[in-house]
Amino acid sequence: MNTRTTQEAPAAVTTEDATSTNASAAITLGGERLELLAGRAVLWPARRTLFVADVHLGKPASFRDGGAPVPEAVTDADLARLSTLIDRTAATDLIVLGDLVHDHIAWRARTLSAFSAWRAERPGLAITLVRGNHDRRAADPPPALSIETVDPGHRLGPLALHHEPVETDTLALCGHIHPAVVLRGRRKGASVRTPCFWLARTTLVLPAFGSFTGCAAVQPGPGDRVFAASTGSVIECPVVRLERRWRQRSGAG
Amino acid sequence: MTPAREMIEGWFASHGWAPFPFQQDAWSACVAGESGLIHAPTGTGKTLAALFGPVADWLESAEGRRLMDGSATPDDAPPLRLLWVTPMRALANDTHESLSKPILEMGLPWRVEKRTGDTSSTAKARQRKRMPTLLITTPESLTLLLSYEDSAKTLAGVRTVVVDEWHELLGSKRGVQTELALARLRTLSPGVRLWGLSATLGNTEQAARVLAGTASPEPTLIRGLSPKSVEVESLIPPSIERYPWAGHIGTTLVKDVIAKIEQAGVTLLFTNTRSQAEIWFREIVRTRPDLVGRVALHHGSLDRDIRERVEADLREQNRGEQGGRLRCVVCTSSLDLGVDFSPVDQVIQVGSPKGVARLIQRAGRSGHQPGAVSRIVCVPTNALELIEFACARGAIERKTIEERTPVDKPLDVLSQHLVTAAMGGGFDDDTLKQEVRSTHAYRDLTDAEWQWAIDFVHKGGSALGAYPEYARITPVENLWRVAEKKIATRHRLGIGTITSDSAVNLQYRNGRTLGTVEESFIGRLRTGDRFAFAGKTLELVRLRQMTATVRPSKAGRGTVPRWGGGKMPLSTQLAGAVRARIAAAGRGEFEGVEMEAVRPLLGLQSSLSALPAEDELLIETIGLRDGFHAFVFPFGGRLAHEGLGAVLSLRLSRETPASITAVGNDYGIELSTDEPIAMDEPMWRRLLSPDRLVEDMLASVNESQLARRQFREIAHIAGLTSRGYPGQAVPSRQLQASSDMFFDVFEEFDPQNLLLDQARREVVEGQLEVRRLRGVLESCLQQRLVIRTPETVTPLAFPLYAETIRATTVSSETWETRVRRLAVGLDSAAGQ
Repeated sequence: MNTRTTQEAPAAVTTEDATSTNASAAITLGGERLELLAGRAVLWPARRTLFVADVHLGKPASFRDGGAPVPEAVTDADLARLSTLIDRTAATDLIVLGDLVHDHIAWRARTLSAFSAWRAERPGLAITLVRGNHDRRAADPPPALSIETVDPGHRLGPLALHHEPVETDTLALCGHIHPAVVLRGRRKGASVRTPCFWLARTTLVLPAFGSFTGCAAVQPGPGDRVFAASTGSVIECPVVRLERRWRQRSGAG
Repeated sequence: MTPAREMIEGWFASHGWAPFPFQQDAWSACVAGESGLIHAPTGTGKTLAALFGPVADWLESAEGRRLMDGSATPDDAPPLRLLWVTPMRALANDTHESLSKPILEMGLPWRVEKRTGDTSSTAKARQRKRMPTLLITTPESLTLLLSYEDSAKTLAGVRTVVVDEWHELLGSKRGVQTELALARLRTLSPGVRLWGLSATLGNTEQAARVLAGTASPEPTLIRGLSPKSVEVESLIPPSIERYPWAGHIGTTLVKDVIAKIEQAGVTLLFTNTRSQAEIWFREIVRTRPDLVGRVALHHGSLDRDIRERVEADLREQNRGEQGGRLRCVVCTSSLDLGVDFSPVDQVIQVGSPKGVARLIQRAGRSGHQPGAVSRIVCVPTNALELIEFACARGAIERKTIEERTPVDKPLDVLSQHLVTAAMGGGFDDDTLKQEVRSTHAYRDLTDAEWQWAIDFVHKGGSALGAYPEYARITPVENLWRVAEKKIATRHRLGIGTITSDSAVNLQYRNGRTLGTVEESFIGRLRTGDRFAFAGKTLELVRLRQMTATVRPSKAGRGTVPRWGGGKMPLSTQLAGAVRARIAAAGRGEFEGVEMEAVRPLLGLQSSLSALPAEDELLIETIGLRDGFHAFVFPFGGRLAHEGLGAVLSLRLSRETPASITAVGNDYGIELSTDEPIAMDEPMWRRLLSPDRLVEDMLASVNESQLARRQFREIAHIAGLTSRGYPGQAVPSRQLQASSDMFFDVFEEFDPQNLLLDQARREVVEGQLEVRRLRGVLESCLQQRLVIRTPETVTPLAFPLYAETIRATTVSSETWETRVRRLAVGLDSAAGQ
């Protein structure tokens, strides 16, 4: 856990009501226009490249292995969502910012065959995986999937591709922390936790793509921007809290 | 008199005692093979009533006769005969002490041992090879015993099971877990006698029936000494605020409380929450620094060492050391149970006890001789609580004590039990189904529900087709068993039904631990922030994983943590009594000092609005600068009101498009909106109709996060989320998932999952008390609506109004200031 504290100490409040609603939001990072999509992905239109992070394929199988009943339908649904995003954006490149798989169980029969079938339908799609902590434990994807695997810090034009957030002055995209924001309703107990994009200085943290992944509320710092990615819309939230913490969520993965 | 009885009564005589008739009755019933319930107040000899039945039973066995003849002394202790189940492992030490003493003094060759979460693994392994004669254990440890392959052999010789403090277990899922374990024991050791020890309840007969199971003959009820008389005294504040507010911790009476403490030898000061205990402790030593070291703090989040030291100090006073150190222990329900504190001279209750049974239990901690008078001093934290004290006294005089409702058919507990049974030697479908149905909780379990639970632990429920890698239980030669060791290991770690919010350990830099606070509290603090804990001001040094390192702070007072849970609703009995007192006040009758004291407050209520008679339902609507407010006062208790608030806002939103905020407390509900709503009597009648109540509740539960929150507990018990105990390494970080994730996945991919259904049912029935709510609405039908539009907020409405402000105010400090300002303003506006 990497903690950074600022000097100011205002009243601690989390983010409140939304200010704008849209199916996507655009930001400019180092002169490049990036679209934040409600489907928890980032599109770089200039390069027709789609970014996702923390897919955690095989997590349901891994849980069943441990005695917790998680249906495989989760995997099928996640792959279907990915297909829709690729089709809708006409992306030619897919870059996974780490944790494509949850652990080695993903490379076992059931999940592997579902993923292989999915891959076979998209021969023209170039896929790059930035190794995340889970990928490293699980071993690289089988060659038959033709996924290029690179280490964190890999450069793509002005962007550095990471899995875990790093303190950097270069422009970076990463995942790992499964960021979320708490939206409070007026009524007692009506707060909802929603995955979000988090632009912390020059680093854009993506929400986890996988549906069975969990998330952790972020604590943005001054000048940060936070975009809630709820069903069908991306909403920029006003940032109130002024102490940035990279915080690992407690329901790990 | 049998020789066995002579020997036992001889032991009594050696102490200069004679057994009470109820104790003798209990012994005879047990020797005769009966099961039953012994109910009596704490400290009146229930333990000895339950112990000597099994002792007499052994003395009359061949082995026992040889001992009494003097013909032979057994070389070794007899095998396991008596199981003693205690609800709290903290009580196991005391129980061990009080059971060992007579056995030792009588020269019985019995071995008495404990087996709880605190017992070392070597001791546990030794016990499994050879069990003691009398084993003291907890429901969780007993279930763990049942999960071993050889449990049938280990437990077959058990002749009697005693469940101590049964009233504490009844009404919770731990009670259901105990019921299932007892059903197992009835199978493993046919004819086993089951005895419960309980405080007196409104439903003692049902309590006995639940313990004995539905298939057994009628249980025997043994009533101990009649409750000692309880005297309730209220501390009346010199001036009464006419605007009381909820949640405010009125420590204004701290000087009067200290005066009371100084008049008595040793005082127990009970508060309703851990936060209040911290606050009162702090206020007492701040007001009287010379009392530092003579006042102690005791609550469930403190480290066990700290709690045990306080308990030991209390007991030391018992050994007759005059002028002992300790004068007062500020505590919560942590000291409600067990532990004989004979030296306690006085009990003080801060805030409403919310129920008659609890007040009697707490009062009983003083004057601990059978038949002695228990005294309790009640300290109001707001003026309305004075009415509740008056009501509690009346209820004690009339002996109307609350019931504890047993839990019905929780499928999460059943799922857990199936895996336990599969591990403990395997089970056959039909046999176990019958056994499970012999419990009160599952007496109406349908075949479909049973099959669902089997499928859930076998295949994961309807969503999973056939995934061979899942299967917590698998069929092996016609028996369901657990095939994989890792599943068994994980299951043993997860046994139990106690779930707690993720607790963060507090420790000093030298590693000394202080206790736990909730993650949600400590997560909001920053390095260097101060807070109050264990009666000290601490400063946060760092937070790593689930451990917060702190150091003592000399400066400032720090905020006080809030712990979740523990907010009890006013019992039906007390709520009804409050209503009656207010109606009487409306007729000009003020009986007792408390009612005299709140007379100005009720007078203001009457002049601004009305004091509702018993056949009237008071409704107040007010337009204020911050919006429109409607207050309804059914006096149905907080939980039912929260449910009603949800239903009313749903129904109101159907009639008029508005964003509605609902708040409930023990007396009523507030609905508030930005724009005024014209609400006439027909509209109120529609809103308050009992028709389609459950449907509307389910609809509002779905909309809110309530079901999701309830699902957390269910996910734990059903073994979906693995739990690490505070400070203990979790089994596998890779396998942790939050219950929220399961909730979402099930809602999307397995909507028929019965655990989701159970979560909604538990919210509707347990959390929102639908039965009580239905009762409230049905009585509303008979009542005349008294709709008033007062100029300003009335005293009855003010606590609700203050709660609404809390929702829109940032910190508790600013909230308190704002509320105080409002109260003063209203009071002067209302004039004399």
